Amino acid sequence: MSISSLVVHVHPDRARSVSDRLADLDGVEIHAATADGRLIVTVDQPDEPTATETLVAIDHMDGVMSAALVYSYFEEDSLARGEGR
Amino acid sequence: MKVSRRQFIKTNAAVAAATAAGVTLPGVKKARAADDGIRWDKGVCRFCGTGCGELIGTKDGRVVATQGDPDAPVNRGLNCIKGYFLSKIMYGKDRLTKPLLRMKDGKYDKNGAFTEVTWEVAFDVMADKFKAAIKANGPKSVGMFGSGQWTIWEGYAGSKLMKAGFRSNNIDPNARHCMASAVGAFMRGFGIDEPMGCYDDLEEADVFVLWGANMAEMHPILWSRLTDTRLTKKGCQVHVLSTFENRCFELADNAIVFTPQTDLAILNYIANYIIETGAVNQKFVKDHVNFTKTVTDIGYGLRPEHPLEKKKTGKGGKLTKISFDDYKKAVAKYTLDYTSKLSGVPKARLLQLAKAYADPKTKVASYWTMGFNQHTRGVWVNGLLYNVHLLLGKISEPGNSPFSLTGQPSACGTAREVGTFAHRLPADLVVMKKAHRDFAEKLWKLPAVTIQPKPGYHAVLQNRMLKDSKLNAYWVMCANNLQAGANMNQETYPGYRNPKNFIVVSDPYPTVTAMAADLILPTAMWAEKEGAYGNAERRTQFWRQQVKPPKDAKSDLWQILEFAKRFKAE
Repeated sequence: MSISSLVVHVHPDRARSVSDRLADLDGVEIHAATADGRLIVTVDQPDEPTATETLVAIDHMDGVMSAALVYSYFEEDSLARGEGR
Repeated sequence: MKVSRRQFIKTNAAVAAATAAGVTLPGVKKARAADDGIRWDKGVCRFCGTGCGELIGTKDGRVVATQGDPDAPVNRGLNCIKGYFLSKIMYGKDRLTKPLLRMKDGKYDKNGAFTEVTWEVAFDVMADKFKAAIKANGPKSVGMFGSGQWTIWEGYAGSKLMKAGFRSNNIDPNARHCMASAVGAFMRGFGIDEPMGCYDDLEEADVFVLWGANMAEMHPILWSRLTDTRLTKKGCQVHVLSTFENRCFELADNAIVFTPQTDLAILNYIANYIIETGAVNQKFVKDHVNFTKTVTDIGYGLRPEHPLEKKKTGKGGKLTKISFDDYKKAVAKYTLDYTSKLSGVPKARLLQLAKAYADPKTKVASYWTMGFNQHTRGVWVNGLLYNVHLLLGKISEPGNSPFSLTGQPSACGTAREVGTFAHRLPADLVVMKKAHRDFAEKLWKLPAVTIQPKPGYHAVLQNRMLKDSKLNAYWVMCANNLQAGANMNQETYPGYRNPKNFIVVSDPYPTVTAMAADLILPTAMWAEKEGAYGNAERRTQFWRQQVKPPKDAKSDLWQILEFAKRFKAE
């Protein structure tokens, strides 16, 4: 289980199209957006390689000026089985 | 309603991000921290020179979470993507956990296979080799290669072991490769190796100029502060100079791709423009600026027998006093036409850049990284930029700031301030000056004349001397020089594998450098030990040990101190 949150700063003129493309990525949720183009995003992936790919995809996305990681949580699968307890 | 653990963590993550961005999430309250069983403490990121403050979350003896520290003045709760790996990098499957010695038939052999040994055996063999080298060829035959990733006290202990213990000045860090030019220009221009600005300039400046720094990808947190200023401050401009387009160009108001090496000419053009248009800050120049010139035909720092070195007629470093008029004449040939032709940059863009610097109403911050510092004329290009800021008096004021960004977390705090270099002592002192040696000897409680007055082998020379069998016992810490250093096939690798030499590499992972060693020592990393780093704006940040290192891995500090115990003064 790998859960991270980011503040994604997009060019204000392109906020709409970037939001749509972000929301299409697997495991990605947008929780809020500010008027000046900042999106509050979480990335929830089963493992580290998939999480890394998603983070890099966001960082490299056309229209994204910066993708800042804020919180990152990681557990091996064996530890994650306690989920929901 | 019962919330799943996954949802609980995700909500906390989203709240943390929203808080860092200054927004509230409708209908969400942060879950109680006590519920998740994570213990939080402060730390600092280890991946670049920015020095972001971190919160480190541990559970059951493992680091399970990290968060940008919302109270850290550098990053205000944000991290870049590199921060994702802060905890993951500690738990790779190929972590080294035992000392490994090349052995054949139960004994050390340069061509043997790596075999697990105890620390006792590792240090016994290592001490034998260091003692044998010193006995046969003197203290100059032992050396150490350190790093801007050493913690402050690891660098301090390494420096003291070499300079005070072995009486050898052959210690140099990988920071030599990236920071020597920046240091050279600081010492030459200002007499001290400290910057005049700080990160607050990212909000104070009106104009930003990037000279060979891909901040967007390499220093993303500083870049996000710059981006905020560009988008919110009226009239703010960003000028980006590089030899190729990089991600910073997306935000550039003036994008400049120039022919390699012509940044020197562009800087002289700006100086010429400032003089020609009467923009020189006469009072500042009169009160604070001396004009000097240096020898120009200085070679390239290659081996003396190299044809390019044989051709040179001068030696770098000597300064001769000149007048302002001499300086004016020297830059006069760098006209707009000439510079545009030389650099391949359209005239309008050069003019826009020069005007942005010269405008008396703007505050200008200039940033650079390896585009300047790994230049074949690195000290010069640093110096020429200081010239531009000095002519205008746009220096040492909030927002007016030439600033060299660093790549490693403690290139400044450890390598530079501790002085883990072949010619340096702590606090900007140097081995060449008797007063400085006396001072260090007094502080270190050493008999007079312990510290040697001649600089030792610097990073590049160390590799040559290994190859030439002059340096025979060598310890590498916190650096993957065979991956990243120059001239690896010609000098470094043959030097490491030279049968006359014994090479020790301390590392958490089997890097190419470790694999070229004779003895590998398993090292604790980041939060597995306590430490402190000093970042690019010289902010010193400490952290406590959070978790235990895996199995027999030990901190570099422990390794240096335990090894030192095997030697006695003679």
